[in-house]
Amino acid sequence: MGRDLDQRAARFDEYVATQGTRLLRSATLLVGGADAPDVVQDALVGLYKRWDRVVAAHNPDAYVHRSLVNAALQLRRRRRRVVIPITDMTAGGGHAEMVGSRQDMARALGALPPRQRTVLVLAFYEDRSEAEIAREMGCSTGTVKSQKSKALATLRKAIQNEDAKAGMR
Amino acid sequence: MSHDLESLLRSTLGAVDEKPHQLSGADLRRRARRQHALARMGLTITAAAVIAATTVTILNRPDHTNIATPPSTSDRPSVGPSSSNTADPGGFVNIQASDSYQFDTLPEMVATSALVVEAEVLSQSRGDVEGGGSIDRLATMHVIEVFKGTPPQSLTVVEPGWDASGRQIVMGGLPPLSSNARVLLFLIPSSRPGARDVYLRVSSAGEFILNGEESITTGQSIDPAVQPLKKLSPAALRNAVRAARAEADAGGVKPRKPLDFVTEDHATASGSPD
Repeated sequence: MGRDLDQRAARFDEYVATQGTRLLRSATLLVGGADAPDVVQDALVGLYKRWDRVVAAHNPDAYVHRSLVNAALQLRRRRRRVVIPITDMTAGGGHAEMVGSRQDMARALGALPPRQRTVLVLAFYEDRSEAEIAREMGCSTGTVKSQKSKALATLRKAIQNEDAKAGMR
Repeated sequence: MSHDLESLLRSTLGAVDEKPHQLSGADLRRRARRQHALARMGLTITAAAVIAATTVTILNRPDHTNIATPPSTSDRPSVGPSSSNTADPGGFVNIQASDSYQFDTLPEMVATSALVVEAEVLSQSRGDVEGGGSIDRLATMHVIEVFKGTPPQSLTVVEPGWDASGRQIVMGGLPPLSSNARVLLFLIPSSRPGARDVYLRVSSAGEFILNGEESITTGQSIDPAVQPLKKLSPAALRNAVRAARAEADAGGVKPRKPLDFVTEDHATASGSPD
């Protein structure tokens, strides 16, 4: 019994050490930088007591991520707008205009309704299929499609507005 | 445009700058254990609260036939017509009423009682002896020895039941008769209309529980007649009662008259408002 607990603790610690940063990134996109650590911790603490089941699952990462999304959605119902911090460094070397566009996009993302933002993060950051997103969010694929469509439309409008403002300067 | 938007979106999401934060598996495990312990404590407290609430509810139900623990006998009844009620959180109310009869001697108590018996409580039930809608507690007795009078085939002792709030009434500190208890009772017939073969204790001094080696007075009576009988062995108590019966029969001992509380109450009520 004690040995089982030790093994479970060791496996849990290993998962946190290797996957913690990735989870933290996802959480930052989902709820913003301020609340991300709490959301990740809440999800992992909640999962620890059934960690054996998590490990035994066909896809443990999906299990954990589902908990993370749930925790994020619960938290995000309390906040209307989140701040998603993005780095000023551009991957592969970019330019100032690109950085400005990302800042605009990050602001627009942060202003999206929680479920729409979650759909976009899962689709474009986690590369989940619509069926997988539907499973993680506990909704139908039809809902995922409509949320994604609305979210992209909102982002497009926001970016166009920003571009128009920039053109007037 | 759509392609550009999605590319920008992917690029933005990929540039997320997460807050530096070192997650520690050990810290998370400690937090999980703490939450688990708190949840268990919460469950325990909730369970205890539910049990307590259920117990109080059951004790307060008018149809509850279990017998509540009587109040301490250290509270003595006041002398005179006044009475006071003490509600107990355990689900009963102790009515500290003065006895209708007060006895200086045991022969007086025997002479005043219609029936003196040693008996065992066979069963308990509830009923409306008076017919006025009140709920009384009824104990059916198996008579073992008769010291005075002729008990009916089926002897029933009536006790106060429950008040309007459903709390068990304890009169003068006398505990409700409990099943299988062996008692020596000084009884008078109930004067309630319709009460047949139903008796009640002559006063709070009218019951001794014969408990192994000693006789226990349970009521709050401070009558001089009772004091020398306390802690007597059951055999000694029986002998004392037999001797008292003989003395009463020999003449010279008159039954006590009930204290006339009604007259005193009336006098007080009709007196000067000052």
